[in-house]
Amino acid sequence: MSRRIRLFVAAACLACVSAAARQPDGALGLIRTPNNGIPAMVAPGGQFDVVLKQRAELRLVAGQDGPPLEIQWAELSGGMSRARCTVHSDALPGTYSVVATAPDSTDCNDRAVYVRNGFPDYYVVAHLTDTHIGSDRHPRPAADIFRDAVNAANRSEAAFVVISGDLTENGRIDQFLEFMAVMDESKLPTLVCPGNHDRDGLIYEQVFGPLTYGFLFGKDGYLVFDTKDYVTADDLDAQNADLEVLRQQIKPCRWAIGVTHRYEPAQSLRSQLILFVDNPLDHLMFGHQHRARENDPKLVPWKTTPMTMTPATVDGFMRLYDISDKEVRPREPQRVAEVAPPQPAPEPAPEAAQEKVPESQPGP
Amino acid sequence: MHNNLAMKPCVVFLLSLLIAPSGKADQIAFVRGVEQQDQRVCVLDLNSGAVTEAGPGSCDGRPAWSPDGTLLSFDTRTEQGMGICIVRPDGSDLRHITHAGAWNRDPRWSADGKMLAYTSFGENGFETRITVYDLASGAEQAWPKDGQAPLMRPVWMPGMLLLYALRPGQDVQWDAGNAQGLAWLQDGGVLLAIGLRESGGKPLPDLFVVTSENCAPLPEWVLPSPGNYVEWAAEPSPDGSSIAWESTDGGDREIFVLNKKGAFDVSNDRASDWNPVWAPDGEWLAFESFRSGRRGVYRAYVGTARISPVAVSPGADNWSPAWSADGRSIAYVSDRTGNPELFISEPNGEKVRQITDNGILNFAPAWRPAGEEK
Repeated sequence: MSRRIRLFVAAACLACVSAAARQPDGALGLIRTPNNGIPAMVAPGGQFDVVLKQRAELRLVAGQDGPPLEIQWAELSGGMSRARCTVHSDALPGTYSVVATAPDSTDCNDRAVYVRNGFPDYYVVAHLTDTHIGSDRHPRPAADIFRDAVNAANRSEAAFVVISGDLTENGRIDQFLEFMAVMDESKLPTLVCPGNHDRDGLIYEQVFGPLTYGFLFGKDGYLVFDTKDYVTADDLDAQNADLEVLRQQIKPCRWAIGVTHRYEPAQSLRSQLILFVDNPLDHLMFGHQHRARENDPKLVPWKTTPMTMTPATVDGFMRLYDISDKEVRPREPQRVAEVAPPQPAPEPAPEAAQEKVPESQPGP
Repeated sequence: MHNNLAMKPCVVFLLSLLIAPSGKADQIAFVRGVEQQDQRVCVLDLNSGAVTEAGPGSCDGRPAWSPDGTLLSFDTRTEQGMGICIVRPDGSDLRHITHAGAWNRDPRWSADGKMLAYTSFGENGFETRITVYDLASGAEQAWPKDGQAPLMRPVWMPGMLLLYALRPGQDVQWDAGNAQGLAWLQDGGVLLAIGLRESGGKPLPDLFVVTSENCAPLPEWVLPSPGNYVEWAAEPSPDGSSIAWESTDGGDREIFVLNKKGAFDVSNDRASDWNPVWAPDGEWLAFESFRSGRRGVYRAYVGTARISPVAVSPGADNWSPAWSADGRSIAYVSDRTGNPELFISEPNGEKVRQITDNGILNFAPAWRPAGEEK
């Protein structure tokens, strides 16, 4: 059996396995967000939004019914509805599915809501990029390499994982299904954005929803945006309003951090004004070029936002970031096989303790 | 599509018959496509409802009408990068300009329709330059000749009255301050553009005046607070007596206007305002603002800075305003139906009509100028 046929069979099996949570073809159903690629992270008593095609009864489920939700509804353009959900203050930390029950349909998004016991001032982010599921760049299947990276993130001290585009090699639904099957082995929240190999974004949108979105993690705001085709992305102003609104929303945050697939100096100048000139992001995480590069001043003509390019996961790499009151610090990229479990923090010198040590450390 | 704005094409056509503006300026060029890769410049006839595909349909960019309305220019994807196209509105006589460089964007017509100016991107990094194309000779030339970089987003000055007032010894109604001004300016084609000027060790986008021989930032004494703010999107009024532009002076992005009386903030608000578009009479500016939470289209009466909404939708965006040639209508894009579609209304926001309903992407309306040959 050829490799492509094996992949197709695997994808078909995966489609059956995941049909309970999504449409049989892998597309989102009644619930658009949150989902396993754009999950919500919330503390007990906190809020998150559910965007869905029609109003429905909503609940959190983790094996059995989770904490009750207090819901405020609003209508969005295009006939969509938004439920602003407040998680009960007694909610137990854990990973929850969101279940929506409408008169004519039921939907469930797994790994959609993570209730956390608060948000530490210091935490670690795992950055994966360019997983290229379905490619034959290496003798080893890209999905297996991605699985190694997911496992490496699982055993790291990361609080969540961002995967910055080129999730697939050709943007095919079977490749997205294979990608999700591996991604769902993550014990951490996984947040994705599209890349140029994910093609025109139509299938990506069916699978994960919005191409551009924002999220909060404690004091920090993240802006995940689409540059899958930097030549035209946003050139006709389709994305700029989202960038402006999201950038303003995270303006009060301790750090405003961008995540995208690629940065090119010739990309839409309006988007560069919003992100790097008017209110410069504090850091930009991206991939695309399959190699590492940090803070090259030639990268940003405006000399404002530090940018860090992470080499491709399909080539066996990932990168961890330390986020603290003091800085957004990218570590050196690591081979996924070499990512070690978190080590106990050394005793700091008294002066350094005042300056550097975070108030709390995140759990694994 | 769920609400009463979701009209069938035949209904759109019938409505367009009722609302079609009088006169000849009854065509709107725009870009449509299922996705970015197939975006194509098209022309919608408001009288017949017919849509003519004019561009090659390869990531076609924002269309611009020649002043006489006989030609459209826009950027489109080429094998090497992006190039400028010229085409008649019926799709005939499509011409790809032969460029020295691979990446060329955002063409703008000179007032006499004989030249195009556009931004050319260098091979490495942020080396944006201005290129001018002469339609008669088919020759490209860097402006200024030494190709100073970075310069971007050029637009032609239709007249010299305002810029001549910035030369030394002119009778301007403000304190000219110094004698440098724009003494080197002479008759001939003049562009406004955005350049980068060092400020505090960082380059800030600023307004520049560019000719074939020279370029310089607008004199600092012209600007309300020079040197500390980001200037962008310079747009001269139709007669060249005023310049509108965006500035972050005041903490957020605002629309400023410069004329012989000085420079004024005409859009003052805590939310961002951008993309100024002059009405044909030069008295009004349409612009986009986030003052309602999402992006909406507003207009300002320049003489008093009075603001009124044109298109504001709860939870949806309205953008890319384009005035009709008679100034009685404004076209814009709105995603209030869940999809970017074209709408037109009177400038006061009344008599709203949806003029596309194809369920795909529709962007960048540009109303055909009056007096065109058909």
